[in-house]
Amino acid sequence: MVATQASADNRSAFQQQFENRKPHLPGDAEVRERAMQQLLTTGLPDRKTERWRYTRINSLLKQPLEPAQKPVTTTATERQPLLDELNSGSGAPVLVFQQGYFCAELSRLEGLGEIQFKPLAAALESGAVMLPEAADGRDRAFDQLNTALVADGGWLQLPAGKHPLITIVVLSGSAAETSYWRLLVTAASHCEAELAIVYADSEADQETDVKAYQLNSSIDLDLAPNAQVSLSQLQQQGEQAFQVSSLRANLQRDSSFKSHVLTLGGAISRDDVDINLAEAGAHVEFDGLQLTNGRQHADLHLTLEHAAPNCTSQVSHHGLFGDHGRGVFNGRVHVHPGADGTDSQMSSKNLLLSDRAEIDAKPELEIYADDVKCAHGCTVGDLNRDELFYLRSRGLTEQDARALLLSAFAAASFATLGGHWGEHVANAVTKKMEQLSHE
Amino acid sequence: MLIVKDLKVEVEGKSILKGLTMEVGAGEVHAIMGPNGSGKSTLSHVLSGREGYEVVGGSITLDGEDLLALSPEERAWKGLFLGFQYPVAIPGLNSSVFMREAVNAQRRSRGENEYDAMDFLAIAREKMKLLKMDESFMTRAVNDGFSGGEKKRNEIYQMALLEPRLAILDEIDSGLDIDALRVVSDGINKLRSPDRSLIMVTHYQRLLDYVVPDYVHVLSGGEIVRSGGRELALELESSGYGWLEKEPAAV
Repeated sequence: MVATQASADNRSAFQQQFENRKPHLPGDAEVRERAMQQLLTTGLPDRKTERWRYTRINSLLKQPLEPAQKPVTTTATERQPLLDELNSGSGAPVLVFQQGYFCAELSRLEGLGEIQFKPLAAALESGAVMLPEAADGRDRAFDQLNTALVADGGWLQLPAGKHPLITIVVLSGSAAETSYWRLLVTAASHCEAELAIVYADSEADQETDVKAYQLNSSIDLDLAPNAQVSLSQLQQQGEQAFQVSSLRANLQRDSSFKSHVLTLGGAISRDDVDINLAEAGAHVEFDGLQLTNGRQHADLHLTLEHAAPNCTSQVSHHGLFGDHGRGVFNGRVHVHPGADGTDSQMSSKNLLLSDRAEIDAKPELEIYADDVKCAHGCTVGDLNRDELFYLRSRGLTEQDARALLLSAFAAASFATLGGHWGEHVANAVTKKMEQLSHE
Repeated sequence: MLIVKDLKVEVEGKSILKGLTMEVGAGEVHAIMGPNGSGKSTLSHVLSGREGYEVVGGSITLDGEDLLALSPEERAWKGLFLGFQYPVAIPGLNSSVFMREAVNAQRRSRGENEYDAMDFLAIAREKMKLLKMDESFMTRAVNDGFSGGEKKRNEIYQMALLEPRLAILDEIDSGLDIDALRVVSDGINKLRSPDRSLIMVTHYQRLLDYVVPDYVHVLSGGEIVRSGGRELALELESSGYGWLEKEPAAV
C-alpha cells in the first residue's frame, strides 16, 4: 500500500504546517482544529477518489508547499495596469488581495457605499464572523486545508438595495508557496449586487524560477430571501499556477443567483461549486467556460441541491480544448423528496480542436420528487456544419467562419456579463482564443 | 446569366434531380413551385454549394463560369445569395459583427476597401429601415431567439446588405403570418432591379401575389414539368398539385 503510505506522510506535513501556523491564525481555533482533524482522519484524495478521478493531483500533494506569509511590501505594483484597466474611470470599488492577504494600498474602498467590508483577519479577530465548518470527506481535503490554514481574505455584507459592481482581484504566486484565500459574503433581503473576481499572477511576467505555486481559494455566500446576486470568477493565472477553488452558495426563498466560472489560465484548475436551493422559489443560472491548451487541465464539479419546491436552475457549460488541453465537467442535480415543481436544465457543449485534447463530461441526475422537469444534454464534437455553411454562404472563408464560430461558442457563456467587466472578460477570451486557434 | 443544363443530383445515392434545365436572365424573377419532395430545396442547396449533394450530370454556369467548381464563399463573391428556409441560430455571434465580416469579405474579394464600424453602421441602419427592423436587431445574436418572421426578415436584410446579382430565396414565405409576409415581400420588391435576378422557391402561390414573378416553373419528380407566366401559379392554386401525379403514374 505504497499510495496510502505516501498520503499519510503528506498528512503529517500539512499537520506540521498547521502546528507552526496556528499561533498566528486569527479567530476561533476550534473550527480550524476540527478541519485539520478531518483531514488527518480521512486523508487526501487519490486516484481512487471518485470526484478526483480525472484530475491528478499527486504533484500538488507530494511535496506540500508552505503556506504564504503576509507580504511585507506590495510586490504587485507591476499589476497596476491590470488594476487600472479593471477600474478605469468607473469609480467602482476594487478589493485587491496578495497571496491571500488584503492589500489596502492597491484597493479602492471608495464607492462601496453601504456595503460593509472587512479584511477577513480583522473580522475573525473581532468575533464578528466565524469560519464555517469544513465539509467532511476525503474529496473535500482542500476545503479542510483552507479552513485550517487560511489567515486572511474578505468579509462582505451586502445590505438591501442596488449596489455598484465590486471587483475583486486575487493575486498570487510570487514564490513557490500556497496562498490561502477566503471570502465570506452575506446578501441581505432585496439586495442586488454583482461581484467580479479575477485570479491573476502577482507579477505581469511571473519569474521563471517559480516552477509551481498554488492558490487555495474558497467562497461562502448566503442569499437572504429575494436577494439577487451575480458572482463571476475569471481564472487568468499563468501556466505555473495550480488552483483549487470552492464556491458554496445557500439560497433562501425567492433569491436569485447568477454565477460564472470562466477558466482560461492555470496549469491545473479545479472548481467545486455547490449550490443549495434551500427554500422555495430560489433560482440559479450558472455558466461555465473552459478554454485550455498546452498541457492545461480544467476541472469543474458542480452540484445543485434542489432541496425545496418550485426552484429553477439553468446550467450551461462550454468547453473548448486545443493541443493537449483537457477538461472535466461533472454536473450533478439532486432533487430532494418534496422538491416538487423543480425545473432544472443542464447542458454541456464541448469542442475538441486537436486529436490530443480531451473532455470528460458527466451530467448526473438524482431525482426523489415526482412533479419535476429536468433536462440535460451533452455534446462533444467539431463545429456545426450547418452553421459553417451559413457563414460561408455569406462570403466568409472557411477559416474565417471557423474563427468566428469558435469565438461565438465561447462568447455564449458570458453574454450576460455587461459593461466594463463584460469587456474585460471578452478581451481576455479573445486573447486566449488567438492562442488556441494558432496551434 | 444563370444557365442550368440537364442537372442531375443525388443525395446519399438517391436520385433527386433528374435532368433539370432552366435559364435565368438579368433582372428576371423566376418562381419555382412544386409539391413537397419534388427537389425544390435540393436545387437551392446545389446552387449555393452546400455539401452532401452529389452532382452526377449536367452543368450550372453563372455568366459562363462553371459554378460547380466554386466553394460556397466564392459563389457569394460572384454575387450569389441564398435566403435559407431554416436560418440557423448562432448564440454568441453578434448580428452586426457577422454581417460586417460578410460584407467586408465580399468587398475584399472585389478589391474594394473594407468598411469600418462607423461606415457599416450607417449602411446597416439604412437597410434596416427597408425591412422595418428595430435597431435592437444589431445587438442580438444571429437568429438567436428570433421568431419565424424575424428570421426571414433577417434573411432579406442580409440580402439587402450583400446586394447580390442572383438571389435564391428558399421558401422565404414558410412560417410567416400575413403581416410578416407583407413586410418581407415589400422588402424583396424594393430590392428588385434590372441587374438583380431572383429565384423564389415556394410551395404556395400566396407569396407570388406580393412578389409578382416573370416566370413560373413547376418542379415535380426532379424535373421541370411545366413553365409559364404568372398565370400558371394561379392555375396551380385552383387545381393544386394533384394533376402532376396523374401524368407520370404510368411509370
